[in-house]
Amino acid sequence: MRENSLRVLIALDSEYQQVFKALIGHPMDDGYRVNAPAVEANYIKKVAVFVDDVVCLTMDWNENVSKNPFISFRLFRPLLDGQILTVSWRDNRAQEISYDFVVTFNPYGRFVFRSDEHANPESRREPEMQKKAACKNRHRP
Amino acid sequence: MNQELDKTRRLLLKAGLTLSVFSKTFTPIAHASTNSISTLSALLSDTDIFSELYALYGDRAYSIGESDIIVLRAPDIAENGQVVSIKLIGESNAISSFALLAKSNQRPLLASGTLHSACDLPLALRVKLRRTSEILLVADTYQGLIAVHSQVKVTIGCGGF
Repeated sequence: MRENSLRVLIALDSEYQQVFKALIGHPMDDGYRVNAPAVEANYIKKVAVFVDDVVCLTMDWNENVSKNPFISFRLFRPLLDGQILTVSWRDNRAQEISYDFVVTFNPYGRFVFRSDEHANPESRREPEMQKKAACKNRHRP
Repeated sequence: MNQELDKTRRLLLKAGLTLSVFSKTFTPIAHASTNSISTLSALLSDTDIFSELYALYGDRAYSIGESDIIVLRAPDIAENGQVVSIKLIGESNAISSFALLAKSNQRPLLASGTLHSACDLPLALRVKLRRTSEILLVADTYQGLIAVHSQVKVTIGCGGF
């Protein structure tokens, strides 16, 4: 994943409750590496999720959270179309990143957000690659 | 006379059998629970972990051991210590904050968080573990602080150290 990118999926679990899942693109370097090349510590210290600017979950992390951190939790009240979600985090280098997006569910109750697509739409797959993928999927039901 | 003796013999045999079955089924569980409680109290009194928890929750009492309110679900064996998925499951809207600690890591407090009204269990995270260690979870619930733990064996290739 690209650094400081975000992917969010909201879907229903086995009990038909909404589950929020997020993947944050971050190296989470702990700075403990002894062998060359030594890497400086670079990890997320604080994460927060907001629903309509109301705080939902806050977490403090140290360097021992995995690379490309994954968060998943169940939402106590179901989200509705048009509500605004915010996911923000702060590094140990005091770099602050925040993504706001409006939730719009598909008929199956799923919502996907990818920061990569929104940031630079030119970097999507080339048309030739898309054609190949279409050929591959043609025989699938 | 002979028949009566036979009956008593059978009764005794049955009683013995049930007793032996009971002892076989119940002793390991009792043993495990006492063992987990002793390891938990040892974990809580560990100086690093104690200081981290004291900074978070102060001088509050912990109720130790298994509970229905909060369950820590971690793999028994993690092949890759860099990505160990950990899940907190339990009663809906029961916990307000949590702290996750691993004894073997340089800084034991991996993650701590506050769950507000819109957030609910189950909650999942992925953490790094240096080596085989006990993972300790302390959750602030409506019944006070609850501490639960689980051992994760980190194997690289084969064997666990």
